[in-house]
Amino acid sequence: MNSLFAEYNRYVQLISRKNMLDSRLSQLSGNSDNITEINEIASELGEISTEVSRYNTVLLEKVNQYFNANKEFNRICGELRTIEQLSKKSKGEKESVLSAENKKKEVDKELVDEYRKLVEEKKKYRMMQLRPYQKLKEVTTLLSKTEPAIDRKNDENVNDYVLPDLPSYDKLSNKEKINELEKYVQRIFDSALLPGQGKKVIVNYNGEKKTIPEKYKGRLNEALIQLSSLRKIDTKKDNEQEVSNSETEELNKKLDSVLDEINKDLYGIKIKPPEVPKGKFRINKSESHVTTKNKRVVKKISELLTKFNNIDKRLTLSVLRLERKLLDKGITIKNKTINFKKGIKQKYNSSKCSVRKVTNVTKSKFKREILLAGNLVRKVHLSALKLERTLLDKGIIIKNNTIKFKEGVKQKYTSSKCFVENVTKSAKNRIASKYNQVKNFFHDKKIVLEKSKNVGLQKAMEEVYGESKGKHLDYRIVNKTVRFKNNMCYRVNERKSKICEISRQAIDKIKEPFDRLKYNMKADITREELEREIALIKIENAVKKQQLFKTKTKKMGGYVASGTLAVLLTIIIATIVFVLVGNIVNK
Amino acid sequence: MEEFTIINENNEFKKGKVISVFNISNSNREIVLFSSEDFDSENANLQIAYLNIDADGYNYISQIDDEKVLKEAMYIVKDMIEVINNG
Repeated sequence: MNSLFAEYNRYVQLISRKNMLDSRLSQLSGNSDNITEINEIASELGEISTEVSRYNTVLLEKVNQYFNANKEFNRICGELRTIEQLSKKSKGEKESVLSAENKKKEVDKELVDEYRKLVEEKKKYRMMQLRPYQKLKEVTTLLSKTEPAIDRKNDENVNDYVLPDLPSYDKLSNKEKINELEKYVQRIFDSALLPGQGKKVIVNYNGEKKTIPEKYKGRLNEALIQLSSLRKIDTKKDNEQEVSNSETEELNKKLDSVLDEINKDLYGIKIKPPEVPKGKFRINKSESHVTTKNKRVVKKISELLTKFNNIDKRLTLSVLRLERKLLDKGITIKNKTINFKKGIKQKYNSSKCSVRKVTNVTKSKFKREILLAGNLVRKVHLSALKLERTLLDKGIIIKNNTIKFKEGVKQKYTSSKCFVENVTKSAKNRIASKYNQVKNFFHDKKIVLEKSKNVGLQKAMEEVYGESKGKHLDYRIVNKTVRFKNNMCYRVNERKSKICEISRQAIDKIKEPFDRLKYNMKADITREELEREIALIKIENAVKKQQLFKTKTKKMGGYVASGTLAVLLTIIIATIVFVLVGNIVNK
Repeated sequence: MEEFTIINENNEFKKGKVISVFNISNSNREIVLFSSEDFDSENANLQIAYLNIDADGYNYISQIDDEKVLKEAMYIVKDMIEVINNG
């Protein structure tokens, strides 16, 4: 119990000290001269509050009750004792009265009533004292075992209470944010119709004049600024999408031109029918075409075909995807020609025939996709057919045979006899360049796709974290004047959000160009614009310095000229005086 | 008014001065670069925090809890100062 009493006394001391410091702080507030004292008081208050927060409030209340009851009990006991002593000393008439412990006491008649009252109170307080005492029997300390609340905030390892994941304003998409802000603005306009909104002002909104309460003007301005910035971002995204679409169209056109050129080249190659040496080539008369074993020709043509097959595969993939989508939905498109009788009008009820409502956008997109895929496949097939025809014209058939050689047997061939035709180097290079173009086309397309998915930028940003160079950083300096409330004090964890320690002079130096920038800024600026602005400011500074230097030199020049004039004048006057004096003396 | 009063984690009062406001591509929120200066000495710190707007249209600052955003913002401040120094 003694330790409890000591702890309770410490708590009372802390509370009284806190009250004293609070009153002192309120006296000093608003006076920046005593800032060191304010800081000391604030830190002491912080320490006190941490110590106070360690006390268990429930136990404190119980102990408080117990000590209050004990105090009152002691007072009553003291009063009873004084009455008993007084009645012993008095010589007046006495009466025997039962004490609180049921013992007979001789009390002066005049004090009997008061004694009885006190006895009743003593009995009452004994009970009151007993109950909290029994509750405190098992308590050994008033301090709670848990860490104080303030320390818990600073501790990074302690998990805070996780709030349910409701979609906050920051997590909303751009369009949702715009909608929310528009609603907010509308609410401000509507509030003007309510009674008791005070003074009203007229504002321009979308070319219309609207009245709003004057007190909401600041909120409206902020909302409108946010709205405009969000709309800008929205339109920027749309433009990027349009650009990517146009890029894909351009690439498709490029592919068409490349395919056409390949076709032309193929027609341009003149492959002479080989002079067939006896016994080396086999002529199949029944099929009336020639087969060749010339490796160069076979390799060239097989390469061509594999290239075309690859292109075909890639392009048919989109058609297959579309087909699969339709099949998943249970739709099969039949290749049927429809013939209507001439002169008969067909009747249909549009409301009954409609399957599903399709928007104009999806309709046109669907049509475009089908047309695009169909056209490309047709083109590739056409070029392949053309190639086949040219080969057939020349009497060449390429068989899809797998060649197997016996193991351990060396194959012999005479290159001079197997030779078909000389192909010039320039023709070779031309064909190679065409294939490279096709290859590059797909490479470019891949990049465009990556751009449209916005993957490249993210990767680049991730790379930036490991680099010290800032050239990849994407940021905008906002054109904004910050307004803080005068009488507010903001809590900041300096340790966490600190970048570096710096002198005041250095801060002033950093602040100066930013202030100048802000003065000249008309909208938000990017990193490149910042560089440009800083360069301009530097040039401006240099020009000013030059001007200053010029004026200084001019001033100096003036001083020098006036000085030399003065010296010359004094010399002239002195010589005149000397000559005059000399003349007078001589005479 | 671009000056404000700060109370730090050690319950010390300091003076804050706004240097610049910027935003980054990873976060839609605005970030303020400011200095926190002692009232009675030459010591100062460069600091960053989120800049928010209250219902009355006044600004207030809050701590950046997202480590990634904090790191990127610090890189940006470094970059900005480099741009200012080197042009």
